[in-house]
Amino acid sequence: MHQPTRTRMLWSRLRRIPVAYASLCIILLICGVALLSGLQVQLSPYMYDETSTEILKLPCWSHPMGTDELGRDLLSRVIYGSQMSISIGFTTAMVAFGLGTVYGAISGFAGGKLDDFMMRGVDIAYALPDLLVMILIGVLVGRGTLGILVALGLVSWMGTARLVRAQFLQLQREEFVEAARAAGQTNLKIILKHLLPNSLGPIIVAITFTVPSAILSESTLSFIGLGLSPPACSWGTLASDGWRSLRSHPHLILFPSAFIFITVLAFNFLGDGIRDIFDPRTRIPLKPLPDTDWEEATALKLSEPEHIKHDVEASTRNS
Amino acid sequence: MIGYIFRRTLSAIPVLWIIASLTFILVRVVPGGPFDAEKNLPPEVVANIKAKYHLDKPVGEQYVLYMSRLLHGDLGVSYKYVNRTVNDILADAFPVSLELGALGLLLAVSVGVPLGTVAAVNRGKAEDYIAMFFATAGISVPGFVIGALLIFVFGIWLKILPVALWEHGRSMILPAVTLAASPAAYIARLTRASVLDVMEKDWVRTARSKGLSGRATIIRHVLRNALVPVVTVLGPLTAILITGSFVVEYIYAVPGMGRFFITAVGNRDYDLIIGTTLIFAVLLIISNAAVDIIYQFLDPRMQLESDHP
Repeated sequence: MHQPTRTRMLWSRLRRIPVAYASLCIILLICGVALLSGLQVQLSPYMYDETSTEILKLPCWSHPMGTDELGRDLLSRVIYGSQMSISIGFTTAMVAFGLGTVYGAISGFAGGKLDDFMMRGVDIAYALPDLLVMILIGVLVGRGTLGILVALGLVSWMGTARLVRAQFLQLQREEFVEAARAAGQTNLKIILKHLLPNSLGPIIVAITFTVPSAILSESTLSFIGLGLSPPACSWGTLASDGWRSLRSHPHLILFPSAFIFITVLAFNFLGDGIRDIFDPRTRIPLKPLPDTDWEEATALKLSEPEHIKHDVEASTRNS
Repeated sequence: MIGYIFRRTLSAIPVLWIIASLTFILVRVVPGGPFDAEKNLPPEVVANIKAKYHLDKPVGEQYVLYMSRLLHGDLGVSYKYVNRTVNDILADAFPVSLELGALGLLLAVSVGVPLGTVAAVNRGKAEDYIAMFFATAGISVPGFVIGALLIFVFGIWLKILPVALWEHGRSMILPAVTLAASPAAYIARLTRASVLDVMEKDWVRTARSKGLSGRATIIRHVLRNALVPVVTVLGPLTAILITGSFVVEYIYAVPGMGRFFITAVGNRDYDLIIGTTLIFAVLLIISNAAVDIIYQFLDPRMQLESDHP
């Protein structure tokens, strides 16, 4: 049995962290529901903007999450809200990835004075309260989805930038970069072919943590009324609507909040798990999983964490 | 030391000026002026109001006027709260926010640090998993959810704590706890990682092998070093507390700066917006500078480190 590739190794490590694996499954489930609702598949008997005369009902058989003051079924609204909230989360993560990676790559690769200057910029950006900046940007760009995305993206890139820069600074001193330079490779090629692929670990961790932060920020903004506005439907706007009836009908704010909590929690646990699998110092007992065949299990067992580090480095030296 | 403080203060002035200018331009660029909602006024009256607040003059002139007043410490006048200067409003609101923030910070540190330490010391055991579950849950819950939950349980259901009030005593408990929840969880995670890091160091093993008992080792040596990253984070933590105060003041109707900021943005109350932003900026600059100064006392080695963590 040949040595498993690095990706398979990481994946098998992730599967062996129960919390992270469970979180991944939950996230896929919620994303699946959001996707289906985006494709206009009716997931519950009612459309999310269908009003009826059954106002302010508590959870019952025909309305598993109850209805709001206009008679709209809350389950449908939560499902449609998931589409908006999660897509905002992912889009922000992509923007942060783009901005942060470019910024961190330039800063880490250049080093010296440019690096110092750029990191001062990051420090200042980090020091600003994100809600404050988002509100001000929202004022400038307007209150549509685009405005929210711009505002969220502009406060989320710093973490990724820092991580990418740290990675680049560290990798630059490695021998394979020196070798590539000696072979005459241009700077851009070095960045793209050598430094970036080896920085993927921290980048993935950073992105995994950006999504829940974006979801939280968007829902908080919408809650205080400075984010999305009706008819846009996200978990934050649902919570804002439900806040008014907290005293009499707490279910209106309970269900959207529960979904926000579960989704963000899952992403945070997943992020912790991904960070652990990339760190060779974390010991993950390589017991065979119930569905793995014994050959693969034996091969995995033979490669203990200490050996993994060397093999991993060797198999990622592209040239 | 005095020279350092003086230099920091001096470098803060251009930063504040830039912030004031940017905010100035920002609010005036935005569509929708402060008096658009007054629909029933005839245009001559609106023109008069605008002339009174110098809004009919070109933007450049308005900027010069504003800056010259700012240099005298006058933050301008509020459009919504007529006859109240921004200085008055902020003078009332600032102590409220400061009190709330200080309480929140105190709670967060006194809950977060022990929680993280316990988790680190009992690594891998039940205490670790439970503590870290709560910590991760703490940073996963939006502030308004914690607030809504607490209000419902303690204010509506059990009826033992007041909710829409701000006076000394019991009414400060719920807002402070709501504000402290997320920072406490964040501090717990950070402390755990930091203590674990320090515990792996050689000198800890030396101290233990010399016969120092578990508890004494931890409390005296490990914590003092592990707290350094926590002090680092106090700078951004102030930003987190400011952000948190927006939501908390909104939910609990606390008359602090956060609430005035939000309503001012909604009302396009220019001078109030700039005024509150400036005060927040001052707070941030002071807290970041304080962190740097505390550093000099805590660990002289820090001066040599120019690498970012």
